[in-house]
Amino acid sequence: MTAEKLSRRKYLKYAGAAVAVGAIAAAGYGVSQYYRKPTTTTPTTPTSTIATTGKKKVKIGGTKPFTGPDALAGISEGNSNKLWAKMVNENGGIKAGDGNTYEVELILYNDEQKPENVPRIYEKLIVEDNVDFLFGPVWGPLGMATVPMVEQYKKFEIFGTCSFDPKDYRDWKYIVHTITNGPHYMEAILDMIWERVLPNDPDAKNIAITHGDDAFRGVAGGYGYEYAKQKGFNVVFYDTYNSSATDLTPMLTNVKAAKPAIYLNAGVYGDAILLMKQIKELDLNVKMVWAGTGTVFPKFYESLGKYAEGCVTCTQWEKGINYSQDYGPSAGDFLTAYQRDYNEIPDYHAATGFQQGLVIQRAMELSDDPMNSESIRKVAGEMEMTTFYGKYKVDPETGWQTGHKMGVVQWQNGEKIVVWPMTAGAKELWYPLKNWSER
Amino acid sequence: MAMQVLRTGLTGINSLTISLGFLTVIGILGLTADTATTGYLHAMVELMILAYSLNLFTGLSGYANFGHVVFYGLGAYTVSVVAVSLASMGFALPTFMYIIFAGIFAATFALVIGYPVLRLRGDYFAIATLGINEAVRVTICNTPWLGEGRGIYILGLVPTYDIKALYIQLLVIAFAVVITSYLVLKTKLGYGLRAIKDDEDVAEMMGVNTAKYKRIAYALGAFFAGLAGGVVTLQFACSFPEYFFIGRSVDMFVSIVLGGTGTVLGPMIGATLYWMVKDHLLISFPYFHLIIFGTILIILVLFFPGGIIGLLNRFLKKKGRVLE
Amino acid sequence: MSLELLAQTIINGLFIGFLFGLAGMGLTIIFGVMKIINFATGAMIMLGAYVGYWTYTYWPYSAIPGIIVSVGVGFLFGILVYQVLVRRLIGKPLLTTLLVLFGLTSILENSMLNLWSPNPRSIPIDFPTYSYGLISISTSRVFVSIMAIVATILVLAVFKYTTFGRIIRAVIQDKIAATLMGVDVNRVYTLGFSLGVTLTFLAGALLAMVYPFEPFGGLPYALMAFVVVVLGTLGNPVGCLFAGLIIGTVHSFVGSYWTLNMSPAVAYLIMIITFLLRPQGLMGKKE
Repeated sequence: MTAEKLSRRKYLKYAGAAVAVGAIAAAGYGVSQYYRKPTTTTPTTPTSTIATTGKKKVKIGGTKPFTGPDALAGISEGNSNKLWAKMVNENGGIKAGDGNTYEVELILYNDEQKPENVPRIYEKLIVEDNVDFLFGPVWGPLGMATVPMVEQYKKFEIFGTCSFDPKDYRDWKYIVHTITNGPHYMEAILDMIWERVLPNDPDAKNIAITHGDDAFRGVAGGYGYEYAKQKGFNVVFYDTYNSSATDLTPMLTNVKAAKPAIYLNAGVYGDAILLMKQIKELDLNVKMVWAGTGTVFPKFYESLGKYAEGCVTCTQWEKGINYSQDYGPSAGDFLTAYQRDYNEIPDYHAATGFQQGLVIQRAMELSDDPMNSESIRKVAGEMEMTTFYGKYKVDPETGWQTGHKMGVVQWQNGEKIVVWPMTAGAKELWYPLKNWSER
Repeated sequence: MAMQVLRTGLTGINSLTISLGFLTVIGILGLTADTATTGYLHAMVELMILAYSLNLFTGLSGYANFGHVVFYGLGAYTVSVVAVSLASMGFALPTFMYIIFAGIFAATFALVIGYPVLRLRGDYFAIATLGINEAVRVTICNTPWLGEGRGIYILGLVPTYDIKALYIQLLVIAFAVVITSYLVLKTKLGYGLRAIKDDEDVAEMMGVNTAKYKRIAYALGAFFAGLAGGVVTLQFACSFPEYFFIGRSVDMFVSIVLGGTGTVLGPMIGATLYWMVKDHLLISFPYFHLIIFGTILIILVLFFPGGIIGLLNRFLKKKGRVLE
Repeated sequence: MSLELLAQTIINGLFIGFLFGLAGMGLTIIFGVMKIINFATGAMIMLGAYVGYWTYTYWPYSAIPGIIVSVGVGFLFGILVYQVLVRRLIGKPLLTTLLVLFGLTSILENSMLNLWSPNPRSIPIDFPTYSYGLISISTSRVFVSIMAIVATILVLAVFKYTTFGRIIRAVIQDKIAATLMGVDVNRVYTLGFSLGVTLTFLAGALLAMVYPFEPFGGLPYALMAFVVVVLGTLGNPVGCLFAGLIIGTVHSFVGSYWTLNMSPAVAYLIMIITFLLRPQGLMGKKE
């Protein structure tokens, strides 16, 4: 008995030691291989033919949170980055302004949405992997953490779903944005209420605004509040909640007491579902509600069932928004390709990821020095285009997106129906919503 | 007895020499190689400093300080606040001054909260420190002049991102923290703390001023964590509430337990190994690195409770020597 | 009006509190039985929620099967985790426990991410709400609260009236004496741990009906569970439920009369002050 136990213990010890040695060896191997083995989407054409056909390579690198709180956005955006690279290479590459054709090599890493990973991975991307241009990370603070590096190494970086506070602008020169920036998130909804609802219902002027306190929600809600007051809305209630709050009923009780006609909350994914569940629990009846950007996801509807009906949300892009575009694949082509590769309907993060690629592609086509970050940044700052994603036009100085306007969608009978902007095929708006007890 | 003291003293110097030698090697490597290597080693040394700062108090006294990351975050915010307020008055300091401010503020904060918190023991202490960390984070999220959830951005107010210069500052801190750890371990303070770890009541009865010792070690650890936080803000040119993320505390704990708690060499080995493994997994398996990492962590901790140092000592003991 | 607000604030606080209390229940029992803090509570709550949700998607008429399946899976999962991991943690330092269970959390979170995607979800069960002016009572929250009370009573009954419970109490009081009396401590630990995990899964399955959940969303719940558990004295289920109600009410009052943004900070502050005045927790006896 004792002998058996001893031997078992010994066995376990040896097994443990073996695993440990293995781990250490793996780590050592990793370090040695470290700089040569990135997770890449390599061009479909073998390297040998590149020389003969005169094709060159453009390396684009970036990080997304494939794990972590915003993995939802990170995975979608990364998928689309890859899809774009694949589609470009299938069509023969980017025919740049200098007469050469470039194939895209994409290098994406996981940043876990942790700031401490960012400088180290971007150093690697810029110095070791020697990328030409960068796709920015997903979340404002992480994006900000890349800025000092990008400025130092003078690399062109294009941001996707990454909101900055314009107050923090410090003279940066190598950055452009694709999305409508955080401070303007609520403008689309407020504009829509002003134009579509207010003429018929003067009560809609009384709105309540709340928002979470993290970087994105703080900027979107805080600036939205200012915009609403400036526009002439009567904000009857304004408060913030902690981003780690698990329950919103204390705040919602106050919202209910303030009796707003319309309730707008700058939230993200989980808190959007939480808010909808709890305004129903509290029997808080409003004529229109925005719970957060997470409203666009199919799981939002699944999680709430019929109570998701009538929820509106602003969105950077949505299936069904049709712009008269002058560049890139059509919305239908993008949808088909994305569904073929990833077997799901792309959300706006996915579309943003594709737009990131299209901007680089267009800028390279227009530039006569397409591998130079400064020239690309100059072209990207001056060019204008309308893709399936909407208009692209940035402030040449700062790189803030000024051309792109957000749309508004509403859940109607299980479908997201575009209700704003009017120029992009908006349909009928459900207003006012029924009381909870009548649904 | 005298022989034993002499022997441990000698081997102690060995540990110190090894640590400083290793630091020198990676220091030279980081300063001569390209910046990507510097970035890699920079993150590693930062984790090392944090591990040492945690080891100073937790490793020696056995008090599980989960909320240690609060000092790191406060250091980071100190740099931003000082930089912004000095810039609004129109002048700037050399960067290392900001870092020192960060350390001093973190240590002061530790001294103040140390009075009540260090009266708690065991699990209560662990959870109270966790609570303090969250309370500080939430308070910052509610204070407009601290940038609320958006953080404070200082690009342009301090010299911009320069990894080599930052690395030098980090190395200086690393040398300081290793030597401090050694001194603490070899002086009355270290023996007092280890007595507390064995049995606090007995130590107190024997005349050890436990309250004072704990407070000094707590503040020392906070000082170095604050310094590391200061460097991080200079690196990102930004400080935001995510610096208070508990995951960073866990990183430190893994490092010291992996290496061996309460030793001079342990945190260094632990942090190095942990960083290499974790980083490699993150790059190679971006979608499921946590599964592999969790498995390795469990196996290492379960089968090598004394950490790498404990493992080495098992072999060295036969030769009558121990590493610490 | 303000009276209505006061009433609703108290109601909200109690509803929040029952969930906090339930989230801490498993934690406190595991600590009581084997002096181990289950740092994987957050991930286990989320896993319980996913199991409940998963069952619901197969039979979307009621949440009850989800709760039952979640409880069953939780029990088996508890036995598995105990036999594979926790068995080796008895008597080990706090740091070892922390790291092993943190490793488990990493594995669980990443597995959930790969299994169920990072989408936040919730169970869309339709419960009516009864309201009068500002005061409204949601039957879903009432259901969850009743379940929390029932769980507490069941745990107490098991402890008080069954042989298993008597053995557990004997082990808690004096492990060595119990061993000498012929108690199989390993078996008691196994059952005690899986009982704790079962309650954690139950909390998750109930939470899935009223809150959203996502793979990495366990941390806020785990932090609150820690707070209520230490506030109500480690190892005391009733204290845990009461502490949950106190913390929930604090949340609610701070949220309604000041700002919801500050409520976690105030909760932690109260916890620390309580520690200083009564280090043994609210329900603990003076040492």
